[in-house]
Amino acid sequence: MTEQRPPEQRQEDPLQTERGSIQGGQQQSPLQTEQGTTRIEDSVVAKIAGIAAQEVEGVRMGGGATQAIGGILSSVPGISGGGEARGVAVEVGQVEAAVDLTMTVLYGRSIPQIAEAVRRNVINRVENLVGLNVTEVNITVNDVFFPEQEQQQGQLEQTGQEQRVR
Amino acid sequence: MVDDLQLARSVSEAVLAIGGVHSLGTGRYAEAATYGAGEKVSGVVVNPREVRVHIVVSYPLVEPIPALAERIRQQVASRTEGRPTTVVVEDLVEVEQGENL
Repeated sequence: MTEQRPPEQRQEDPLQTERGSIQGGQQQSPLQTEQGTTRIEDSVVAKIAGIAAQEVEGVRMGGGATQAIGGILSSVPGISGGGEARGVAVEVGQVEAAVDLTMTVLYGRSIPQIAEAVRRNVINRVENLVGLNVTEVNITVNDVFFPEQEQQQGQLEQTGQEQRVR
Repeated sequence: MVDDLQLARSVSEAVLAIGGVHSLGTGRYAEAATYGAGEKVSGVVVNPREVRVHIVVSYPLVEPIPALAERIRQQVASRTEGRPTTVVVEDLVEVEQGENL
């Protein structure tokens, strides 16, 4: 007796994905032209993703401790804070990119909603500014913060600035 | 297809124009809003399956709350891209008789 596999177990066509289909194995990209290619460094994509994530209200990139250290470090001359790319890891290919974000969210906001808004904004920004297809945006929320903590953070950075002038 | 933020803005406009609605609510346990780049529409939550509108109602009531909710649903129906509308009444605010439209 032969076993028949039910139709649901048919393998998905790898060329048809949720985010578009690939025709004939060659994906068109604005970065690959006949007269040369454009290569975009990972750090550029990471910065754009980081800035796009923070455009959503109530989001701070990086974790709790990373923020405090980053705030102090950025006031020391010579060390680039890499502020815009804090909490961002990217994988960049010739036509696609994947983004991993680590962030903290303002207490009182719906985290699933914020994460979805961040995801949408990062995808829109990266796809439009960089021309790469964003395959996935993974988000890790590792802390919540309160508005008062924000003020303390600002004061900490300010005193750091004053000491430099002396 | 309209993106969530535009949808939220359009729904928010429609709801605020309805007499008896004092303002949009902000949610009780989580902020009710739709977020986009650098902006936020308060009081409207857009989900793939539904659109949720949080309102604060003027008191004395112009009409019973179920009727008001139904009126909101009708006004908003054309802007929600087929999604059902849930109306959440969060609070009542007393207004002078003359202010009630």
